[in-house]
Amino acid sequence: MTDGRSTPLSHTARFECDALAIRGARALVGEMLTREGWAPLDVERARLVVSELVANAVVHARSPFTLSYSYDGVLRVGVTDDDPRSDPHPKDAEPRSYRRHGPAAGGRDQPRLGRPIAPPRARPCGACSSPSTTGRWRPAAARDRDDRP
Amino acid sequence: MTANFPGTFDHDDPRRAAELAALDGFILEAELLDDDRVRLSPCGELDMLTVPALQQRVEGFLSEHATVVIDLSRLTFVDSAGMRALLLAHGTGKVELKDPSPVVLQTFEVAKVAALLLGDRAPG
Repeated sequence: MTDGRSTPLSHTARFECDALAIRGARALVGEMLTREGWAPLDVERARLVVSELVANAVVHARSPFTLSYSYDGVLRVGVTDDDPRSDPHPKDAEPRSYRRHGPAAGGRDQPRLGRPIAPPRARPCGACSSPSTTGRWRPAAARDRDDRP
Repeated sequence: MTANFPGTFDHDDPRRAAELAALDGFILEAELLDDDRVRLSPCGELDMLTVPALQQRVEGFLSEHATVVIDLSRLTFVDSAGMRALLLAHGTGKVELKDPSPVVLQTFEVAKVAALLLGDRAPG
């Protein structure tokens, strides 16, 4: 993110693995950018980025983390967790799996709020004769065509 | 989500969720518009800490009223957890979202959900 300013700055802060640290981290960055005179909506964009990065460290890595940010014409924000087991690694996709890939719109809150989302069923694909088991999103027209008895 | 580390909320522990929400001054004001409609005005930051409090109130009102109108004008922050909660609530067809604050609207636009959540009320 850039704003055309020239004052360089950098800072590093340590946080414990605590859900409240998410708020602390974004407040820290928000206050710093506000103090530097950034436009409010730009500050909010930066706070959103920080919040999402820190939430990943707290919720998924479950470890203390370091927040670093610097500005040298471009604002750079980094969050590094301490869990060596949480290094990024590829995951094998399960053809019939509809969880843990992409947004969890059918997650644990689904039965309470929102429309139920059923797992994808094996059905003929509109473009070929092989069953479509990947759960890929298809255009509504294709779905209607396939769903006809 | 389980409480394996300090400060973590548990979706199944309403009291804990409410405590954490209260820590940051998150307020949910409700107003009965008529027999079928309730307006809910969250004030503060809607994130993974405060989402359970909002969900509980929405669910409670939907069990007694046909429509819940969520006034977003006093929200000062929404993260992906908050957006997900709003998307799920909107998906029931019984929740109407209105008057997003500039911060909330910007976040909706970044996530490309402004038109979906706000319909005709979305700018542009």
